[in-house]
Amino acid sequence: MNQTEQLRKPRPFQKKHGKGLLYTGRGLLLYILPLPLIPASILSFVYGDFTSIVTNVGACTAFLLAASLLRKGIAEEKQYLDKKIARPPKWPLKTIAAFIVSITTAWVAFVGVDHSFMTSVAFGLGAFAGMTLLYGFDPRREKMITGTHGYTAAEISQTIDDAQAQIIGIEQANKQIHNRSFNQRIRVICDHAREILAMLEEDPGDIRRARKFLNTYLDGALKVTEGYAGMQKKHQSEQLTQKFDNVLQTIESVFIEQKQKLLEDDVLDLDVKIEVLTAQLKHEGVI
Amino acid sequence: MSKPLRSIIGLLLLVTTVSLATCQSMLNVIPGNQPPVSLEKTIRPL
Repeated sequence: MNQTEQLRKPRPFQKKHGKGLLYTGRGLLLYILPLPLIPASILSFVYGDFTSIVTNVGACTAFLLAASLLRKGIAEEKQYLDKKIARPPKWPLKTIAAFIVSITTAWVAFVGVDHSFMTSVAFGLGAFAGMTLLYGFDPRREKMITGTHGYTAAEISQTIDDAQAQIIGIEQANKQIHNRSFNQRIRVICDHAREILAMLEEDPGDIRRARKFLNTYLDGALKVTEGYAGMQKKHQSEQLTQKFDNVLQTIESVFIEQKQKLLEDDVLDLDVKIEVLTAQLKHEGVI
Repeated sequence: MSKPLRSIIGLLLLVTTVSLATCQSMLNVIPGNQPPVSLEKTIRPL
């Protein structure tokens, strides 16, 4: 298979399990450790001890909140590690969880167990050290590949995130289209688009023209797919189907060309092509 | 410090402190496990 044929066949998109942490048990320990507080809370109600009720129920809630924050923090850290260009997570969730666990442990030791103040502080510090040693701190630095593209990691990351959101939008609209040939073609376009984004993450030096490309074609593809999905519900016409087919062909060929140009690093030629194809899309009434 | 060693120490510290505090708190709620109030009142320093 030569290079052009390889470019024409995109690798099918495989979903990463970055979000949600469905397949990893990291952070689940914090849901298990406070389990004794559940019978403690029940017994506090049975014996009618108000201080114990507040301590045990409050501590149990705080531990569960910390566990939830920790899992979210781990998920965000995983996404950060998976990407080549990434902004640090907005909130240091793992560190916040460590503080909650530390303060709650000290509080339980002081109020719930009647330890001395200094012993309770030692419990809290031990829990904090345990959390930071076991789970670490949150990433705080921007991940960036050095280059002379003049864009910050935040801008590049935003461009890629926006483009991914548009691809998801195209896929959503594709579900409403009842034409197998179009469905298949749109899936291929989305796979091409994802490959282009992966290439951009590898080499952000191409981000200037890629932004132009993504703004024109991905946005155009989204608009035209959503438009067709909406229109076909109202009325099916041969002309509309033919027009949509033409536009999809144009978009697919441009996506393949974009991949080729990114590989060849041919800046000027692509800029000209973008201008020409923008005019064509305008003519077709897509953008 | 290598990462596995750090994780093991962290795990031990976390499990020890949190489970000790929570288990002791649970035991403390049960009246039989607390020092009896009557005894505290009767035994006073001379």
